[in-house]
Amino acid sequence: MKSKLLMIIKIGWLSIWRNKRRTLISLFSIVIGTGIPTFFVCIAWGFYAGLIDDVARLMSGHVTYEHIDYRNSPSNDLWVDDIQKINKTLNSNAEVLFTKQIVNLQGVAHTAKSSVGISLMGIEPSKEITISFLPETIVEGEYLSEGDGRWVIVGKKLAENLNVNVGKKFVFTTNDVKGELVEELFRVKGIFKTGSKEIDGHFIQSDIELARMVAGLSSDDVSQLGIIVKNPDTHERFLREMQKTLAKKNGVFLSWQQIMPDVATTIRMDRTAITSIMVLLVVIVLFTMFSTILMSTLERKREFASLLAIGTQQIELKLQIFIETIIFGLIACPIGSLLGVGVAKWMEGYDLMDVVGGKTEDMTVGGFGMDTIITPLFSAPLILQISIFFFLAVQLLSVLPVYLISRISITDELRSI
Amino acid sequence: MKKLLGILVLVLLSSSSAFASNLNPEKILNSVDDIYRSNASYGVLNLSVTTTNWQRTLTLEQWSKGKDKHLIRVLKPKKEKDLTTLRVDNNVWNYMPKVKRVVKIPSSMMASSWMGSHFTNDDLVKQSRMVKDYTFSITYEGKREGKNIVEISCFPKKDAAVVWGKVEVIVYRDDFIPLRIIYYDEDLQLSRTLDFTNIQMMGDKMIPTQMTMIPVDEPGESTAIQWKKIQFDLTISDDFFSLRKLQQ
Repeated sequence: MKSKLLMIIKIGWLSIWRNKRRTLISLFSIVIGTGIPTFFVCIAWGFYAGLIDDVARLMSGHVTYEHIDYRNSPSNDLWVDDIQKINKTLNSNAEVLFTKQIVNLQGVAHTAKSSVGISLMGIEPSKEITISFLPETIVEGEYLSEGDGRWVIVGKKLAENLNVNVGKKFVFTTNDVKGELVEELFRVKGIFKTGSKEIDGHFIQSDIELARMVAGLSSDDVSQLGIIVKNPDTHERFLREMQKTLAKKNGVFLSWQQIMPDVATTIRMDRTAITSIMVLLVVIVLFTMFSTILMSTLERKREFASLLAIGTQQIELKLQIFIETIIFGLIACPIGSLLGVGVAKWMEGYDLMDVVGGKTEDMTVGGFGMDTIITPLFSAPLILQISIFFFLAVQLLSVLPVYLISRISITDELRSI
Repeated sequence: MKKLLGILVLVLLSSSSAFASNLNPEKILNSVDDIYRSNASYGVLNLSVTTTNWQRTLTLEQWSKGKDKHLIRVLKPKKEKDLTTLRVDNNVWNYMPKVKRVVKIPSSMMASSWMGSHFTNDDLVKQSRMVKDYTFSITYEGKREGKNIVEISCFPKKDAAVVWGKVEVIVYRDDFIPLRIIYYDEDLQLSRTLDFTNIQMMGDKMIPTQMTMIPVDEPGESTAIQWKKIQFDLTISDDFFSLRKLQQ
């Protein structure tokens, strides 16, 4: 039995190389069929992973600890306390990469020229430099450092709207934690440009101590505690654990999807759209593959009839066709995956805007600017899934040719000899 | 010789007094800040807003107590009648009679225009006194355009929460009644002027009965406040400036 199977495998192997042109066409269609989705998934999923990481690092992490009511109404008077103890526990957790203490204040920035509604984020400057990409986007002046007092960094668009530049002042009006109106003078230390209209136009950062002073918070209070985890894919499990062990009565751990639903929804919609397009593409590619496999089988009808005439059994013939398609799949699917990965790798570092045209400012998801530099995500499980899917699809596509072969009439096929 | 020396001393003394004014700029600035204030006051005024697209006039009545409490109610036009603004300390509430609702103005709305004028809700809340937030000195004293005036230049203190780079306060030399306040931005570019005109006796006090705000970056636009009636030093209880009163 084993020797028979080996013989069928050998016959299959030899028969696919008898007509190299036909074989190469079949292989080519499977390689392209596997390569294109692999390429798109690597590029698109890379963009999303980059965006999620950038947003998490810029805002409040992959997991955020905040007041239980803060999500419904992110007002200045909702904060969480006892934060130094919680922070210490989190920093000793092996899954945590960084934590960032944040004081958020909504208010208005005034200058003699105009007034603009803004969001102030008080952070720890020395930590922020290692966590967030914002310090790299400074286009004028400098990024913050500890003990900067009234010095803040503002977005390029906001600086234009307020008519301020480095060294100039503006007045920030907000409500403190008691609901009282407070006004403070800020000075511009640096101007950043992220490419996002919302962030560049309505966002400022200061040393957390300044934000605490304006809000009337103590050094043990924050609006949010952001947690950057080592593996973002496992943040949901981490979140549940922390909620059980660390959260106080008025505090809650939330995922970045709950903190930034706009970003999560947009990514989900975008992924669905890309998946739909890929499904369409896959159908077209599978149809092409089906045609080549079917043709390569049907044009050998007489050959199969001869084999049946000399005593080959139907099952052996069917097995041979299956083995041929398995060989096709085993050769073409890994090559297709490698091709997709290779092209994606080759495109790494290119600016998408140079490839497709347009402005970086237009590339926003949920108000956050996307990094338009192509940074593919090479997820082995995902690439393997695509490869296996196409391998199985090829096997499925051989069912009809096998069925047709089983209905071959030896006399009809050999009559013309 | 002694007589000559005496004359010299007299000349020197008189010439030094010509350069070193005996005017107190702090007193003048406080007088300007308090021009429409008293322990408690009541008044009726017209607010005329002119923009490039429209013009409208509202008649308002207002009560105030000290510098922290204000109640302003719209009398005309009919469409906006009874629309009321209450300011207590740093908080501002609006009462909307049509929906019978009181709305607290959040900090995010402080930059919004008050009643569509060139004043903001923040201008209404501002209770800063010039002497507290600025360093100041008399920079001109004498006749200008036929008026005997004193000009005080105010520069904001280092950490004072003010947007201006410089404010010039020009008052009449004789009674310190304000004539004009000129606001400059941080680059010392002219930003807006506040003109005080029509000085009349009202409420037993000489006051400019008209104030006109002219923003420089919006040519042709202005907001004028014209006092029709004002009474000073009344007795008004603190309860008057309450949310309950706001809805009455």
